[in-house]
Amino acid sequence: MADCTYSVPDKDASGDNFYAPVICYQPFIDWAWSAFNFDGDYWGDGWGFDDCCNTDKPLARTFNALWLLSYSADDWQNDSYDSNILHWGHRYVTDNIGGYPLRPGCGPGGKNATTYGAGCTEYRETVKYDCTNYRDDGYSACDRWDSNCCDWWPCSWGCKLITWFCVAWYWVSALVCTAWGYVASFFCTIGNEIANAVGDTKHINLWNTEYFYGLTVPPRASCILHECRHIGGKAHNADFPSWSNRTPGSSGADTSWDYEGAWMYDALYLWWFYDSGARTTSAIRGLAKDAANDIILNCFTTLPGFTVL
Amino acid sequence: MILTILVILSVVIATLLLLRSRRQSADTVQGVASVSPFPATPGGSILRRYVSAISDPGVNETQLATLGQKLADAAAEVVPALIETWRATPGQETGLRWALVYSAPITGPSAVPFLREVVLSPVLPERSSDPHGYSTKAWDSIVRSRAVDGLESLAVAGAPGAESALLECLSHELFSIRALSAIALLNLPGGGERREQVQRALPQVERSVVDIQRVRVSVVPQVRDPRKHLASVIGHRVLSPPDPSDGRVDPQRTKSAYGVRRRGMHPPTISGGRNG
Repeated sequence: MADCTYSVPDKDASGDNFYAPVICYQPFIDWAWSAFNFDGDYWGDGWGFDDCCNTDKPLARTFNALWLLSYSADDWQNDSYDSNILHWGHRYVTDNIGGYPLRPGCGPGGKNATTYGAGCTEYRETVKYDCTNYRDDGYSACDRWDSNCCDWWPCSWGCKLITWFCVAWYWVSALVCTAWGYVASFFCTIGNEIANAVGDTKHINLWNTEYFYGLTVPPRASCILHECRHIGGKAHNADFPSWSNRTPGSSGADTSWDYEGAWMYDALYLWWFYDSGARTTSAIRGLAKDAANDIILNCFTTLPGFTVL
Repeated sequence: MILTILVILSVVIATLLLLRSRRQSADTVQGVASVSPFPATPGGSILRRYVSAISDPGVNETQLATLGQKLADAAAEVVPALIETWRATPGQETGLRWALVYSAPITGPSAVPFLREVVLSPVLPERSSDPHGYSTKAWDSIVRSRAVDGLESLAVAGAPGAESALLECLSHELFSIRALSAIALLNLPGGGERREQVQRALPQVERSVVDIQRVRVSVVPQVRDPRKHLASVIGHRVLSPPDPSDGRVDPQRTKSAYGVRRRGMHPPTISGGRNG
């Protein structure tokens, strides 16, 4: 008796039939298995380990997403970080996923994927982001003070001195604040690594049925990028806004596009894929467009002010 | 002193994490059969063929255009089949629902009532327990946004009722559909003249959506430096991906020859107990 079941949705519509022939290539499978850190102990038992070209099964459906992630730039060999995310998306994933084995699971229901053990890096980056914002807001306040300074001596000198103190205060405070983030994260990481060595706390879980059968191929690809953005240090930092089609007020949104969080990576990848994706079809690209617009309009507390053309 | 406290703290954290997350055993999974929602009618067959073709690697643009023409020529049979298929498609078949809506505008003006029905049909309450992860409402919204897209393309082609359907969408229950409809209306020929009408139809607090721009991805802010967003400076670089141009199924090779090899794991049995 299996722990969970799935039914396979239409594979033409999901894009799985499109990618099925190209994933079934041993050099790709060998590369992907290592590059994306698949945990071999977890992909048997019906998940597809012994039938890895069968896109009815979770493993091949994951390979489809990873193939899209790896080869959708016209010049796929160029994975330079100076290029756009369509080029370096897979590189970003392989660069981050090293300590986080990729596993399937029956799941709690309602989730696509979960990253475990990235909290320390997320804490460090969140503190750094908050400290930088605190400093920048402070600088603005100092500027406002300075612009209202009197222009007669000695008042002007005194006022200028206060401005300098103001700027220095925010500079030093932000420095101390950021340093605290690094120190706390360092010790958190030590604790985390000990826990991981003993209790296996760091991994990414892809969940049945939502990830494998609820998502079509492009969002499956961008979802892995989304998770790796968490590993790269950005937690969600806001609740979904009142207008969102997710549950308004629940956690999991990002404040803005400029926060460069997981939702921005997710949407930006889908958008580039829609705009310039190669080795795919117009329909699969169209699906990516709609998924990108959905994120843009629902997952940021400050609307980005643009949609996909 | 501080160092001692921090070391103790890290040990406590480690213990807590350890207790919370003991190594889990792998789950087992099994597939169950699903049923095709396409009706066994000539219209249903044409529709099935087209929906398959839009993501068929063996179908080129010319062939797809030919199939699209067939779909348009048989609109009188295809549209009822489309409606029947839509109604028979379970909510969780989001890919197929999206593909049906994507295919609809090819049938021409007769698709307008279908697309209108899709976009204006009530959105079911969220069925997911974690909408941040997987949101059924988001997918319902994505399917409807494709319907808005279809109505826009039909309105551009002058299909009767398409523009008025878009105007109706301005009072849709979902913000993203209201916003996309507003943007669609403003991008129709002569859309600038509709700006005030669109604004008036939107809730007061949302009138600024008319300022949302449709742009190419190259002009929006990009990730400033992804190298700064890596968990480790060393990374997990492996060899570059192999050349995909050779990636094709070789029917001469056995299934096991394509099997992944790792850690000497023995092939497990489908939905059976663990081994290896």
